Amino acid sequence: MWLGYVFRELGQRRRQAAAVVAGIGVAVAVVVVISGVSQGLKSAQTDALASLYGVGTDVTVTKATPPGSGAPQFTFGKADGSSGSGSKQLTQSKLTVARGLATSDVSQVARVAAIPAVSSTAAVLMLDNYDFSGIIPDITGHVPSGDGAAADGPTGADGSGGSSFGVDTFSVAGVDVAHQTDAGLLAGASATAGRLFTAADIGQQVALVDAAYATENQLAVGGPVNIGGVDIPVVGLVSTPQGGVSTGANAYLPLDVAQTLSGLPGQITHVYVKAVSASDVAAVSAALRSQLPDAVVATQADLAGSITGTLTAANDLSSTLGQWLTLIALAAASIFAALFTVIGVSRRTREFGTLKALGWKNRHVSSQVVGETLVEGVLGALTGLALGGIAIVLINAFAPSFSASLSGTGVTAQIPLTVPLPIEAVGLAIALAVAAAVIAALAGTMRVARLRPSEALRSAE
Amino acid sequence: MYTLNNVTKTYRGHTGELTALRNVTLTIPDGEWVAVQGPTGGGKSTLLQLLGALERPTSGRIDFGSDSTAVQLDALAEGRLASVRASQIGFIFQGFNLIPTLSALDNVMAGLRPIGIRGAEAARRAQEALEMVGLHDRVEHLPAALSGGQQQRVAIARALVKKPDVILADEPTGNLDEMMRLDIISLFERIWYEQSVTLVMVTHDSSVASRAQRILHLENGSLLADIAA
Ligand SMILES: Nc1ncnc2c1ncn2[C@@H]1O[C@H](COP(=O)(O)OP(=O)(O)OP(=O)(O)O)[C@@H](O)[C@H]1O
Ligand SMILES: [Mg+2]
Repeated sequence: MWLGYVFRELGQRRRQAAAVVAGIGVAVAVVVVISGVSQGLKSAQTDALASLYGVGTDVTVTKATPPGSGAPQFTFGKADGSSGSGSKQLTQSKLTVARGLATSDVSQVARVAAIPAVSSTAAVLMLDNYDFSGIIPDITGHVPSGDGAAADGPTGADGSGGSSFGVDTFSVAGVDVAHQTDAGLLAGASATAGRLFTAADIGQQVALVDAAYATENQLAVGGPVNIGGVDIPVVGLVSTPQGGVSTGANAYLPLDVAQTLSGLPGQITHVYVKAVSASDVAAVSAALRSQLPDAVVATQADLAGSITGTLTAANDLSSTLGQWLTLIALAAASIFAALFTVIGVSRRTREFGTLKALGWKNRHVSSQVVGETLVEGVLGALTGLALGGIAIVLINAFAPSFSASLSGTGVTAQIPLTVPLPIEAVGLAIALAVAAAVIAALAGTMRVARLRPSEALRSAE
Repeated sequence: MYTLNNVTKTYRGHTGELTALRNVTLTIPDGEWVAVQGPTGGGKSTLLQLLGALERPTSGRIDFGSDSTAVQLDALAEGRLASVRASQIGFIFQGFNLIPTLSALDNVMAGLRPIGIRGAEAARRAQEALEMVGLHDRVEHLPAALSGGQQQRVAIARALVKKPDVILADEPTGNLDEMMRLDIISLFERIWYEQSVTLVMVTHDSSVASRAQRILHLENGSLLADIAA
């Protein structure tokens, strides 16, 4: 190969070269972004599992949900709310067991702990807090008797003028203060402000708030958070070890306080279990299943498949669509580059005919075409990596976040997407660029082989 | 030395068959200066392509070279024909046919590439050839920056640089004006004389043809006259 000739050709025929470089570059960028996004989604999935499940938890024990449990009902009496100018301001809070969950007696914990190879347990009472607030027309005057009007749930607007309702929901976990960081929702978590619970907090109305939730709702250490209609001082903000990922609940109370406020004394929804070692997990979960026939026993592996939400949907989409898009990008880039290379060779019929008339053999002429195409491939790979890098930076700047929930647990987390520049994608991208360039070079070479040296005598273009 | 025996070249195109050269038999001894004349479409370029090993005849036999180096051009494979072109034949075109992206020097060096001479040695020989055609001060110019006469000089240097046995020129002055035409013809004559090459030149110009040792007249693919001057 005559490199000087290669570079002078590319320099002179810039538009044609730029077209091939751009074609390969776009394909490379597509592949880099796809593989970055799919890696980002996968690690978000791992974060989601850790967040929803608690770092280091091996097995969870919950209770099968009784059929027909649903959202709470709000009932307002005549005396509720404040009245003024013909409408009524109503607020009400309700703290109930989290949707889709059933409670069991706290004695469950001791039975779990008694199973061999269980190293620690942490009980949780998972609750939902509903804050209803709204303005409804003052209908007192129109109702001659009775205790008042009942609004049936949050959507019970009556259609008369001046009504507006809102229901805010957030999740509250009552945690076993003594074991808060061993297993379960706060395992591995740390306080970003204030502190975690201490033994002195048992029986005290103090709360921890998820750091991300606190930011969204302007809650701070020292300030109150209203849970179940009671203002409770916030003593700490907590976050997971995977930065930016929310913890499994929005707010945390000592278990006994949560039980009291929700009117569920002695009740829990989850037992988070840690086995002595990873090899004991199967035995522990088998023992739990046989000894607690009413319970739902799930290992981390079981639950990985039961994460639902936009994150899982995006992940599924990216793994199937990603493969297709990669193939399509490769095919498109190869066809595009091959087409432009063949057109380029055809336009240089007289030039290559002349070289053949000078005694250049097919391999001499072809090596020039191959050299030009490979340089275009390398430039295409670099362009594509740069484009892909820029796209990834932009995606991260807008950082879309996905929701993930563990079905049957009532736990939801918001997981921000962070797209890495994947190292293996760099290899993949270079392989793709080279493949496209090689295919293009082959097409060009076949065209070169068909050129007759006497084409040199053709009248000038 | 060329020996052509009953050489016929037929082109097959979509409009049917066309016999461009018909039963041509002739011998060209080493070192002869031959002009080829005739009306357009007569087969002059076709004859030159056969002599230049660019094409093979449809029938007939072409022997090229003397004794030990003799080859039968009509029977050689494509790759062997390329080797013959690379080492023994210098071809010059009416349209100069320089590579537009390469400098004068690089264009001349392109003539050495297929015989494996590269780098400094190639540059030295190319420089020498450019000096021989009077272009030592235009070495780094691109073809577009040279006049027609200068471009043809580069093309002549490219043909000469390999020290060929034969120089074949197809209307080398056809694209040049009167002044340059004379310059280039004198250059050819000087090279023919100094390098003792065989020179076969297609030309429409009778004053040029009259300076040759021999004139071939082709019409309708047939060799109508073979005149020694
Ligand atoms: N590659 C080809 N395919 C088909 N026909 C061809 C081809 N090359 C030449 N011919 C035909 O062969 C005949 C002889 O052509 P050639 O080029 O040898 O003529 P010429 O004497 O060089 O003419 P001119 O003076 O116009 O250059 C012409 O009729 C031409 O059309
Ligand atoms: Mg001709």
